[in-house]
Amino acid sequence: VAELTTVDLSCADLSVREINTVLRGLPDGTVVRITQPRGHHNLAVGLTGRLNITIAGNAGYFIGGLCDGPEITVEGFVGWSVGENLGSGVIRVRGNASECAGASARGGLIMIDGDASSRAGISLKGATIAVAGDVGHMTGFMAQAGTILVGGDAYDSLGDSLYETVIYVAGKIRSLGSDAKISELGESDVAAVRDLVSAAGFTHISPEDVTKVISAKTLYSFDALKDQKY
Amino acid sequence: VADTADYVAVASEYVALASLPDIEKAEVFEPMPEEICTWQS
Repeated sequence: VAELTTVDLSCADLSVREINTVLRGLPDGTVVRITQPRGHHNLAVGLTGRLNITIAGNAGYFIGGLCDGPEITVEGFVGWSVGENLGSGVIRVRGNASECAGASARGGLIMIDGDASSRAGISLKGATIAVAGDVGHMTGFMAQAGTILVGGDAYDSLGDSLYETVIYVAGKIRSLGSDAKISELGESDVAAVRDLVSAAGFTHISPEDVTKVISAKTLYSFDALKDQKY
Repeated sequence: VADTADYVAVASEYVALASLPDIEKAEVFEPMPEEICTWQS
């Protein structure tokens, strides 16, 4: 049985490309600590190994993007598009996230303990995003599959041009986007939110009291003759 | 926006703030549109 190994990688000593190359060569189960991230972009991207990675500080754009397996924790803030195109695995951000968190993510779980900025879950394709705090405008824009949970408030145009993604909001919704509507909360929704709240470790969300937002399906299918406007 | 007890710094991305003193202790966040932030010394 292989012993659990721990690897320390410092952004002060290695380039982002060198760090990602080392990560790609590590066996499953390795525990990795990336120190001095100093806002670098593209850390821990494109990985398929079952690694346990901690980024010790504030990081930049596309953290954990295109990954298919690892568990990543960022002990700080992340820039644009954390977990962009994630296939599977878990990403937890202990601070706030900038725009487009979880953009186009196909699977896995992205948890943000702080707030997320605009367009979280844009074009989501199956992943689950849980934000403890508020989300910015156009969250869930054109999201096709998966789930978004917002523990705080949602700013303007929530769920604009939504497809099959379901959005749950515990706080206030400033406004809905085009073709988004509030739907009745069923038992399966409450159970799904309860599971997600439990997985994320959020203690301030009451699953019975969230607001469910889905597609109103008036823009769902392209209609070439609609109002002769195209 | 990076907010600390000693200073407030604003930049388009965190890389530009990364060399500031005690930046790792700052609260880093992105203000929402139409939101005005004010600080008092």
